[in-house]
Amino acid sequence: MVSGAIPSPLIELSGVEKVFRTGKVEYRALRGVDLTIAPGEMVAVVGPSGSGKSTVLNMITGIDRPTAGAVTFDGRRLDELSEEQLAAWRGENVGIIFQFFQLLPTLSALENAVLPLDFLRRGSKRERFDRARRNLELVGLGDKVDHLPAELSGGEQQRVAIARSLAADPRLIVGDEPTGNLDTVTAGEMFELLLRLNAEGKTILFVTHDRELAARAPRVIEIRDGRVVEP
Amino acid sequence: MVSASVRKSITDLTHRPARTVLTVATLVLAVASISFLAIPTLIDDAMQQEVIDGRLADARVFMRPVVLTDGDLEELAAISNVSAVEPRSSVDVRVLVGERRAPARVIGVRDFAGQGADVVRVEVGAFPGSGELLTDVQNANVGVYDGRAGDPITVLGPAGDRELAVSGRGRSLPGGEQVQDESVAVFYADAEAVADLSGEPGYGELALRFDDPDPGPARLALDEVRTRLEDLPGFSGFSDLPELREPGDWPGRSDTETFGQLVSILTVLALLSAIVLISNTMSTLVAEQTRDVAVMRAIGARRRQVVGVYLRTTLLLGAAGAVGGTALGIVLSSLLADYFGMSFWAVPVGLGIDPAVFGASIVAGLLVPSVAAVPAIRRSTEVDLREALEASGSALGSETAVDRALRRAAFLPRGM
Repeated sequence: MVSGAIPSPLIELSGVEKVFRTGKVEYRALRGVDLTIAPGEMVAVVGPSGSGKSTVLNMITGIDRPTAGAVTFDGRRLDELSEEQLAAWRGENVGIIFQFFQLLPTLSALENAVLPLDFLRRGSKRERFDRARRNLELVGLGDKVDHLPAELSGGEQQRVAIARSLAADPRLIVGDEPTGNLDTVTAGEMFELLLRLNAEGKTILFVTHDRELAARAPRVIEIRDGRVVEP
Repeated sequence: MVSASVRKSITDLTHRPARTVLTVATLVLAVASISFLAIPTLIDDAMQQEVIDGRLADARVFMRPVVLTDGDLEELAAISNVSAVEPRSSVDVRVLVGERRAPARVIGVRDFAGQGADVVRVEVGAFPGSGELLTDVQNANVGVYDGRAGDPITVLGPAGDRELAVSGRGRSLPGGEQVQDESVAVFYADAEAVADLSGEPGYGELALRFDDPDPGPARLALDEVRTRLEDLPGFSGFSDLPELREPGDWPGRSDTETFGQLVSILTVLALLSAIVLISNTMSTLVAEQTRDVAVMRAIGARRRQVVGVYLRTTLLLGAAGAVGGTALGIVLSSLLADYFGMSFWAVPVGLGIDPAVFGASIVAGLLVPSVAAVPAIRRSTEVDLREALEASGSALGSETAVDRALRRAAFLPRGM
């Protein structure tokens, strides 16, 4: 790379539109979103409820598809991939932290944290479990690896979700209101963890209602009425 | 160490033990119902053994009573392909059962110790001596006579009334068949006792066993026996057409086959009902996991991996159902076969396994839940990921073609 050259974006949304249809009712969630995120960035996405924040995240993670426009990850058009290709791509490249944790209730913290590696079939079984155990230690849950989600507090469950998102060592970590269900202290701890991961080179993108928390991110994007208003 | 996805297949079952137990119980009953198909085979196996043990005649010749000497019988036994000749006499009588005069038949045996065919065997007591009768076990089973060894019995025969005693309980396939078919009490006595009751000496039936019971050679031997009989002094003609038993046949076999067909129909209906029930259970089980499926897809699971998780779950259910159902089926089919065997032929069937039905039970137990779950699993991997992640465990996206067809049906109220 030539010194001073603009790094190629990790994520690029170009003219992305999303229309939800329920029967005869149409709802335009995104109205031509253009957005570029470079590798290693930490970006907070803010905006009022129903503005389209989560929809943008869903476009970037391939959980949803745009009605129009293009979504590109490291030069690869996500909107052109099949569902199977998207699932495989997510497993390799994205760690997702959901607002409601979305842990599998019948599996222990360790089993939840190892699941993405199982699906990737990366390494031996022992190596996968060792890695998941290290990730749980990283988020401070080394002593609760055998606990079921129901036996953990909300903050602990979210830590498991973060450990799970780190399983495949993805380049991008996406959080949809990752601190939305946590108390202020725990939310602060989680954010510190995200900052630490970003410092280690991970690209972090998260949606939040918390303006104070968003302000601590190096970059803030505001979405309003399906448009990026402060790129 | 078990992988997390395998653990999920297991914990999905242990997480809801009540439903798991009920689903396995449904499967067990479905698989057990298959075992009913084994009943005719189990009965046939027991009856084939009974044919061997009782040396069931390959053919029978019926004639007007004729006196047969030892020499006559030796000559008949020397005919090519004839391995045994057993003469029998019989007399239709009435026996006093309380105040009632019940119809009965006394079958005369030339020599209880040296029977060559249609062997009468003692179950309780002893062979009848002079002034004694052996009662067939089927008399009590059918309810026509329930006397025991030592009981006196009044026999009203054509030649007069006789006060005899019951020596014990015995059986033979032809005798038991007569009790079943004609509702007459059948007794066995020595040939002299029968002659005394009927007032007519001689034998009216010859039971034959052949070295080669195939129809061709058997027919030739039978014709030769009939020819020799016609040449005997005192022979006055046949009283009925001869009977030639097909190899492998036994009394009541065709009825059992008809019964088997009826059981097959009932089994298929029971199995179909169970499949519908299991399909519904599987559909609910998988539909409840819509969000889990979406989470797995969101963190990188391929469709086949998700399908694998639930197929393993259904295979575990199926394995439990197959083992439990097959074991229960073996016991049930054996008990039922034994009940029928004892009721109709007084033949104990015992615990038995029909290898074909055993195999079918295992395969059906393993496959039925998986096959029943496949449509639901497939649908679960096709739901909209965003919608499913927002779902709270409802049967999101599980509408089938049948659901859609029913929705269009005019008779259903709006809003269903």
